[in-house]
Amino acid sequence: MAKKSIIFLLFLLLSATSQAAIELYDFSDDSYRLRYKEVGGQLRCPKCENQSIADSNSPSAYDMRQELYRLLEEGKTDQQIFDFMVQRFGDYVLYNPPMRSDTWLLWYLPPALVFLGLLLAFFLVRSRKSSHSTAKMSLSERQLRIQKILELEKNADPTLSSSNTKESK
Amino acid sequence: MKRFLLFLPLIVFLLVGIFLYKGLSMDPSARESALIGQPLPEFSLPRLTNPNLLVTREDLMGEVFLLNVWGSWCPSCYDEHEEIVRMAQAGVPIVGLNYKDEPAKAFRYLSQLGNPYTQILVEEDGLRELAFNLGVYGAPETFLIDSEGIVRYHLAGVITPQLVDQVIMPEVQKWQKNR
Repeated sequence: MAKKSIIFLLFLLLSATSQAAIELYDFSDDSYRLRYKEVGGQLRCPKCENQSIADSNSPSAYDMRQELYRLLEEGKTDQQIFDFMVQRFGDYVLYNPPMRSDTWLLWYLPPALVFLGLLLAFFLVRSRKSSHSTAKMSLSERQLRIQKILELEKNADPTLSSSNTKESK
Repeated sequence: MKRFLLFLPLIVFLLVGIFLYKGLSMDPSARESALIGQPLPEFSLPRLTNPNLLVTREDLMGEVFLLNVWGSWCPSCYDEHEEIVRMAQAGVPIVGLNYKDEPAKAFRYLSQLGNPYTQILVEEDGLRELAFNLGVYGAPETFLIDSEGIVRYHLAGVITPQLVDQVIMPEVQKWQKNR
């Protein structure tokens, strides 16, 4: 038992060394360091579905970080860097896809659906309020209302109401 | 109108269902390369068999060929090698790009499985000379380049017998005719 746990602990040591991949970049300008993080966080690693190249350990993400560093040092703008990456890896690497005729659905469908939902909710609430008066009453509510009407009629014209009741009997 | 509204949730459910069901059978790694229709990037890389000899883009021009990115470290490359040999035997020129590999291991790989390549370029780890500019993010990857040097087809992943017969060979023949 003790032997097993020692072996297990040794394996834990192994995993610690393999995870420690620290890259050192010597930025000539402090603003590059900030932009390195920012742009790296907005570029998606082409190998790993949903990780930015800043977060990924894959070799292709490493290569992209190296290029990102090189481009920053060359004084390229963020847009130029994005264009550079898209030229090679396609729109896939952008976390913010470009606004184009074939991507407008992606951008406008969610707000359009929210708007439609609000519209639907608005009309539903309104139609419920207006229909509340007559059709959807329970039996007791109706009886109550009939009684009220009858009483009103009695008060307005007592002779009529009494003769009516006699006739009906 | 009221009746129709009753069925609205069902309709929405069906639409979402169809959408998600389609998503089940879609392969998120199968996406078109940004290089399709673009010229093969310029490069200058050594040959595996003769590291002193640098090969450039111009050296490869003139015929339709396949560019196969491989490495001895890549398990799927072993799986597809048989198909590469088969295509080479059928007369398709295939240029290898030994990617992030070590020459000794690459030679061992070839001596074990055979060498179907007309020539093999070497891009060591950290070089980013050709593979990066082609948008390669793993191995194996295969590109079809026409006689003018334009990338016409790209596959990220294993070449299967089916792919060879139904897609790659027809594509090769199509672009050979087009010259």
